[in-house]
Amino acid sequence: MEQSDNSLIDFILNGDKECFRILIDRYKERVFYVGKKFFSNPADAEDFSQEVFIRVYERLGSYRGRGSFAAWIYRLAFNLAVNKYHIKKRTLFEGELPEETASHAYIPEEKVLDSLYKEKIREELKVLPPGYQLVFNLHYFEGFTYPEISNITGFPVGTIKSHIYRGKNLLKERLAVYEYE
Amino acid sequence: MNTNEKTGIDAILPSLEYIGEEKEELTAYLAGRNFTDRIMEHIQTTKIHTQNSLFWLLFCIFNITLLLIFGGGRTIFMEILMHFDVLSEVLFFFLGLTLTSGVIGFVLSISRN
Repeated sequence: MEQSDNSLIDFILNGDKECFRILIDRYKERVFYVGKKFFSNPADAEDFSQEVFIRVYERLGSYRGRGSFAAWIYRLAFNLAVNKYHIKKRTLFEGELPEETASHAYIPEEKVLDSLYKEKIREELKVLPPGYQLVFNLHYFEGFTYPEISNITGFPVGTIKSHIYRGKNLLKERLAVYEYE
Repeated sequence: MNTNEKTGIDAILPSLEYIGEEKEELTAYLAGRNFTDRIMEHIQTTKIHTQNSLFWLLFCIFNITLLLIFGGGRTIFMEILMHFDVLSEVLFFFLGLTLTSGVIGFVLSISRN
């Protein structure tokens, strides 16, 4: 049976350092994903992710079990990026989008559930500015609520909502999908 | 039509597994770089409770400093305390208690390393 994050943390705090390996394996892709959005160079993203985990380890004692451990790690990653690497979070939402290709033109609503269409959305998500990708990932794929994302990123809830809204509009424009009335 | 029903992008996004799609790619990259092992190597030398120990040590030093200030020589504080006998006893008793708890906290934080 898979051990919960909290029980693993208890073991680590009681001296079983090897349990931290399980936590790293559980979260490394997610932290590295965040790193990749902050840094264009994979090696920098890797160094950043490594530093995040070292900080997580050093500060495990201050994790009180309030809120999810994933949210705590994300918050730590965002704080590290902003405070140490001086990443300007606002700049993550800027950037030129590549030209749309002809194949990205109008796709009828009937195709909405089509797997090819989903694939197209995934492709389009990857070319959105990194900030939108991050908030989309946190909200839609990690399941965090707006207040939780606000707590993680340090942006006000209103800003998160507007980033999600703007991100969706960018996606819609690129996919030329029209909402039902 | 139900106005609460999610449509278009709103309906599709939650059904995607965005990071899931990239996960294999990320896993392969990190595995090739021995990511986990390198962190584990680093933390073998890291003391997890260093910060706690430092806090308790500073707390003890602060207490001792206060005891020295209030207890040693004829300082301005002593002049004030001389007029309030009971207050000075309470103060020293309190400082003694906090110093003791500081020492206990320090020893416990060290022993958990």
